[in-house]
Amino acid sequence: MRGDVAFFVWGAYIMGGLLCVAELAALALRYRSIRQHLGWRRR
Amino acid sequence: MRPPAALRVTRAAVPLLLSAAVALCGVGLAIGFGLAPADIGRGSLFRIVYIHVPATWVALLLYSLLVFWSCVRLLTGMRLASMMVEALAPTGALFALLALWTGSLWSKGALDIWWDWDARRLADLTLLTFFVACTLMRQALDDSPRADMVAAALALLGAALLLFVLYSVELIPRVQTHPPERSDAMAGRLIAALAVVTAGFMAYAGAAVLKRLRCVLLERERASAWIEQWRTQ
Repeated sequence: MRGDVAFFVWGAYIMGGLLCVAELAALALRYRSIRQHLGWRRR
Repeated sequence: MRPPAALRVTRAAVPLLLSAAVALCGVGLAIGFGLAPADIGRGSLFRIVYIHVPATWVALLLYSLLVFWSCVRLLTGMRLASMMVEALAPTGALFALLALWTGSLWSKGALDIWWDWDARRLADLTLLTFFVACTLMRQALDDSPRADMVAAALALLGAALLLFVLYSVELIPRVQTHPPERSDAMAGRLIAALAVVTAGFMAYAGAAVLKRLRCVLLERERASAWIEQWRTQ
């Protein structure tokens, strides 16, 4: 794969992966914060 | 479905959907990068399609669901419908942003421009704008029935605009790249990779939306008596 083409292709895939990981991490933190706020322990 | 039942469903479904998403995306990308050969005209740049097209389809699917639940909210006042609207919008924005970004990368690689006023690109931009607008509107007006109504109405306005933009694909002359040249075997692998990655993205979107629905449900219903009962079951 040529260098500039690799930049575009991997730029697309890495951005996709980063967005998904960031969303899942944000959701996990939000859920943990709610549980702490409600005073819940893991069931 | 009542909120306690929704909480049970989300608890069971999220890990299953996430596992399915990882497996399906892995298989789809292996087909896209390994089995499917590079396009004759565009070479390896063509492999952006395996993420751009599924992202666009899933963004459109999520917007359709947003419109459906907005209609349910406006017509029936159902509480769970408002929560679905709130849960769907951020994940929809993620897929619309991914579609827009990969579309720009494709344009830059193929035509040496980051942006063209193509109707498909405009449709991605419209989707992103209304997903973000629904999310921000919900937060700007705080936790109130009025915020739910405004977000639902905004989703319907976006749907009208989106239909206009998609219809305009036929009307606006677009920048033409040369038509792709591929054999039947290549076309088969292309469709297989697109189908598998789309299924993976749908599974991921389902997991993220249900996880957020769980958060929204607990935040909104924290003062309800059923929450305490559910917790001690």
